[in-house]
Amino acid sequence: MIESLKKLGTARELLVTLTLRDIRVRYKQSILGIAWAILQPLSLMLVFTVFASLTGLSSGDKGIPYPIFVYCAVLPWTFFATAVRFAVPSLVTNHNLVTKTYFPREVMPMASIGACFVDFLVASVIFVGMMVFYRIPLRPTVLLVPVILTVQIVLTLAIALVGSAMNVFYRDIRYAIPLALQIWLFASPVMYSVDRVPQSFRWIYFTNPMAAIINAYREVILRGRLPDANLLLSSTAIAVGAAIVGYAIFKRMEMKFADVI
Amino acid sequence: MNIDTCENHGNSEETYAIRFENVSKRYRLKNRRSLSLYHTFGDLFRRAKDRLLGRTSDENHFHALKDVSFQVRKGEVLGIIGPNGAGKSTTLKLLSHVTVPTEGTIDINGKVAALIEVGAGFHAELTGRENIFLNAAILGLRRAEVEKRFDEIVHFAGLERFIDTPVKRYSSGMYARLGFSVAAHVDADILLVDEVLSVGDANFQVKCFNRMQEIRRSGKTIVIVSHNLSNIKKYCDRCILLRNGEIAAAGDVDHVVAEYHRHLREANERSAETQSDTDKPIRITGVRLIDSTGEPRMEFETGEQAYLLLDYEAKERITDPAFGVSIRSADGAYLSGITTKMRGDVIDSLDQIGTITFRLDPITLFEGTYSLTAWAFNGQTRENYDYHFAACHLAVVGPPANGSEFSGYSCLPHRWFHNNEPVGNGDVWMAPADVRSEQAEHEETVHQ
Repeated sequence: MIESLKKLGTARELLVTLTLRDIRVRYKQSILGIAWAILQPLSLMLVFTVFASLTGLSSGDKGIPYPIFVYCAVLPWTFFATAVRFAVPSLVTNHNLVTKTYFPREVMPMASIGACFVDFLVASVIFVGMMVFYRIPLRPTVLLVPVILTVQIVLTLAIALVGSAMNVFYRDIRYAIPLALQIWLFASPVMYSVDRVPQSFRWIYFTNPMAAIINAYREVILRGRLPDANLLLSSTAIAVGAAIVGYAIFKRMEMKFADVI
Repeated sequence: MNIDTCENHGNSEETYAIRFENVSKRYRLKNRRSLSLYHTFGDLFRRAKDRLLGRTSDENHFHALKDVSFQVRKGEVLGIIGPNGAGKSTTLKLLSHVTVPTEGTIDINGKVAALIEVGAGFHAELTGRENIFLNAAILGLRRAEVEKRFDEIVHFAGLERFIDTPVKRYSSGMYARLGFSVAAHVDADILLVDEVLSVGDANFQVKCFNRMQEIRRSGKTIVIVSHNLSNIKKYCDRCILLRNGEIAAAGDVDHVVAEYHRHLREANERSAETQSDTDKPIRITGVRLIDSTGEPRMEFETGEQAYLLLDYEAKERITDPAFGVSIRSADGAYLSGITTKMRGDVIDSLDQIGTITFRLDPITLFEGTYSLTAWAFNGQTRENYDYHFAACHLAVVGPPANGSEFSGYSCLPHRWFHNNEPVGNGDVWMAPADVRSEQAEHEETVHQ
């Protein structure tokens, strides 16, 4: 495993190059270009806001208007979902590279995540604008955002590694993914606040690491509070554990990629 | 299963760049069905059973390589030749770590850059410039180094004008030149080349040759896989012949090429009596290649005559019997297919047993090995009676002239003139024998 990580280290420039390639290719012959990165979470936010006003759903907190409440979650969620959606088929899509050249294959799903991360950064600009618009004060707890983001990325990596490796052997995984993500979206406190989850269900609810992560974002950015340490820690443990196991699985399956793809 | 790739060992005692020890590579033949639990369990049971019983039968597995061992010294240029399906590409894939051996050990000392299929990693939407960086990164070059060599790479490929257009607009030749150019400038200790030396026009080929010599002089190790035996002879120090996944010969290039020819000759002898169903209206019972003296021969020089004899047995009276012969190059390119009906001629009648002869005169093919396919068919209904694919092999040996002044498969019959004067000493080469003898007569009378 250490050997693999060392090899991965030597391939870091390749990772950057492939990430850039993914980004360039995605927006090359398009009119809106990188604006699509903003459009996706923004439109999701608008849809949810309309839905919320029709059904009486609210942020549960008088001081926080629903649009920014929901966008605060939609933004990292979109990063997570699109990263998984692009990373899982990434090896099969690049099968000519896999069968003709050698490089640590995990670079492929990682590059997809990297490209989506850039989209996320671009869409964050809108969020900053919204913070100003809704006059949400900037609190010191915001400094914890990079920490929470790291946990999210580790979790994304775990799913991307296992998913992309399995997709090489079982092609329908890439179709199962959007379905799973839809369900996962509703199982996470994106559209609604965690407070709406009945106490008796909370312990099952929080086995979903994204639940604690999304909630943590809201706590530190919108409410200026520290997130629940236990929840965040357990989610971190799940994410890190999954990433280590996922990487080990990936490296074992890697040897067969070129033969099967 | 044990792979040991030590990169940049820095171990000066290691004189070997590559070492294959008892390497075998097997592929399962049954296609794995996707996500069907029933089949997955069935597969698992079957595989466990096979492993327990040590069963790797031929019907379940394709043995791409069987117990192959060889070594390549640092700074050596090794050629790997062999018929299609012999295991050459598999060997390259193992060398470049694209796949791993089923059994055996592979020891590689140094960084490997593989040029298997030109432009691997090229993305159609990106420009030539962007693709150079991408491809170089894939081949292991640092960005700073790419920037240093960028102009050199572009100049070598001759693509200065088009470097900022998306490669999807490139012709296949431009594509290939760019791909080779990047690989030729990569910092690797070991370079693997698969059949890409045949891209580009004669000019580019000369550039490639010079560049390969430079790489070789700087002490790098090169492994070339090619069907083009004249390229192998040009570039390689040593050669390996692969057949059916095994090493059939190894050592000095001329010796191994001669071995290859010997195998082909033996195959020719076998097809002197072919197998086919006895109830066909016309049956080709033998395919033989002989020279103008009637001796069976496999090696000819460009410009000579060769005769392909099709021995046949005709069971019934057929109104319009016809025969065809086609030639393919070693890498599978279909060069020419000619039938007895090409000019609308009709064969009056066939004997019960007889021979149809196809005279190839002159042989316009350049140095290399070619396969000849023969078939018998009905001229009216076009129904194929008997088809023998690659029944015979023909090897053209010895370059007719300056080795780098021609390219491609075939020398078209031609003559050069300058201001109505023939260029050169006036001997007519590459013309049918009848014309040659006429010409010789004419020139004799002129000189008298």
